[in-house]
This record gives sequence, C-alpha cells and structure tokens, in this order.
Amino acid sequence: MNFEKLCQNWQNQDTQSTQTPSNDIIKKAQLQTQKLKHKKWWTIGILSFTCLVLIAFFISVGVYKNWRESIGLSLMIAMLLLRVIVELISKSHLQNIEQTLDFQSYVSKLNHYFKNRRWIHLLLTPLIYVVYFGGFISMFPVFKAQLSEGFYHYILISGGVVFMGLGLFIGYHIRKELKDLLFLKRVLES
Amino acid sequence: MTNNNFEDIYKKFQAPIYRLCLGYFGGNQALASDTCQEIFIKVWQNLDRFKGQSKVSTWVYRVAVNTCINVLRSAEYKRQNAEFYISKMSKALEDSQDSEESTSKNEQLQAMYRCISILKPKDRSVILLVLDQEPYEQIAEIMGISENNLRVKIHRIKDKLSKCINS
Repeated sequence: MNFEKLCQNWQNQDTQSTQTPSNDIIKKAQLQTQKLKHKKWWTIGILSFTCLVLIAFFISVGVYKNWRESIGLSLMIAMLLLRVIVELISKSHLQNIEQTLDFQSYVSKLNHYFKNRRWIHLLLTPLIYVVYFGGFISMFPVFKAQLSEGFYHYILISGGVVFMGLGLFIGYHIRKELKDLLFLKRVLES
Repeated sequence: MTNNNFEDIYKKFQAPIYRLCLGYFGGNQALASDTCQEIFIKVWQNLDRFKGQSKVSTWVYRVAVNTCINVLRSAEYKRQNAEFYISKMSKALEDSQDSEESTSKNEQLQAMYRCISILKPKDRSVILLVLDQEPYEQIAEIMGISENNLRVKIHRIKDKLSKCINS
C-alpha cells in the first residue's frame, strides 16, 4: 500500500459524528476564562485572609511575649506562607508559557519549567518541611506545660501522622513531576 | 477578533484537528474529542493575540500539537492503565466492526492508529501533519525545525509507518 493511499484513507475518516457546535465551544471558553479569573481572586483573597488571621492570632494570644512560642509559631507560619507563595509563582510561570509557540520551543520551555520545579522539590520543599516540623517540635515544652496530658499526647501522635502523611504526599508529587521531566527530555531528544 | 472569526476557523479546522487528536491518542475517540475541544477553547482564548505573522493554519496547528503533547505528558504517568484502556477500546471496536461489516478500510485505519501510537511524540506530530497533507514549509514552522531536517525525518517516519502497517 503506497503512502498516498494511506493519506487518502486518513482524510476520509468520519469526523462529523463527534463535532461539537461552535457556540458550545465559545460558551465553554468564556466559562473557563471567567473561572480562571475568579480562581485567581479567590486565591489572593484566601491567602490575604489567612495572613490576617495568623497575625491577629499572634497578637491576641500574646505569643510574642514568650520567645520559644514566638520562634516556633513564626517558623511554622513563615514556612507555610513561603511554600504557598513559591507554588503560586511557579504555577503562574507555567500558565504564562505561550501556547502558540512552535513545538520545539514550547517543549523546551516546559522542560525548563520542570527543571526549575526540580530545585523547588528537591531543595526548597525538604528544607521548608524540616524547618516547619522543627518549629512544631520546638513548641512541645509549651504544649506540655499548657495542655492536659491527654491532649498533649494526641498532638504528639497526630503530629507524627501528619509528618509522615505529608512526607508521602510530597514524595508522590515529586516522583510524578520527575517523570514529566523525563518524558519531556525524551521528546526533546527524539 | 469576533466570534465570527472563530466560527470560520472552527468550521475549517475542526475535522483535521480531530483527526490529529485521533492519531495522537491511538484512535481513542473520547480522548480525541475532549482534546479537540480543549484546543479550540485555547484558540478562542488566544485569538486576540493572533497578529497574522504566520498563517492561521500554522497558528492553530501549533496550539493543537502543544496541547496534544501536554495531554500525552499527563497521560504518561498513567500510561499502563491508559494503554490497557486504549487497547481494550480498539479491540472492542475491531470486534464490533468484524461482526457488522468487515471492511479493509477500517482495518487499515486501526492499523494506522496502532502504528502511529508506537512512534515517538515528535514523529507522531510530524506524520499526522503529513497525512493531512500540510505543506512541508508549514510543518517546519509548526514544529520549529529546519525544512531539511524535516525532510529527513519524514522519509524515515514514512518508511517506519509503511513497514508497520504492511506487517
């Protein structure tokens, strides 16, 4: 079978049965654009609100008067905010990659993006993770002094479970993105 | 740009873009249809930025191949499940066609889906554009490679594809 015949058969495939009306596509596109805008404002809103609540909590309970509580809680809050901000900036870089670039440039940019993500995952995230739980552990004496023994043990156990669960969750996502990077590398090399 | 411009583009390119998606995803109609919609949503969202520096077809095909590679990237992680699903779908489709009306044309299409899905993603994009008879100059612009490099690639892929289909 020659290649011209293959081309002919390829172009004669039935494509009518799956055609979505163009108006439906426009409606979906408008809805998606609107959703993206809303999502962006919601994210900014939630992050600002969280910051305000944390600052208010910090002041209202007088945590700043005790250096151990102050440092422990500050570290936890700072690490949490840092990770969220880094993630938001990183995601915005992905969204800003032009969809209309030629294939080679587009895949190169994606590859570059995932290479940068590797630094976030392999260096920044473990550092944040360790410092966050360091802050948490530094507050154990405060918990022990101020809480009942039962609640103190509950915090110890649940903290340990969260520590391990979060570690597994982060590990899963790192593995997934490293696979993405490998895939893009193969595409670029082919 | 207005919705009328979009409608013209959609009318002209829906069929070839859908075929491109079908080829990309081994004849998986559901995945091809979803991806095709995603492509035209992106086309609509980016229409204002089209400055006419390239042909409309080049511009639309660029969005299409970039979207397909992204879908393929996310599917790559679930490759084993997806492959199982696709092969199951193809098998069911083949069986139903065999029992109803066994035509050599359908068999050949199934063979083409199978053989194209074995190719590397970049080669897949190139051969699908060739199958839709896009000019080489335009394919080179879509892929971001030189025309000479493209000709060598096409020769090699055509060879591979013909051998696979005839085997």
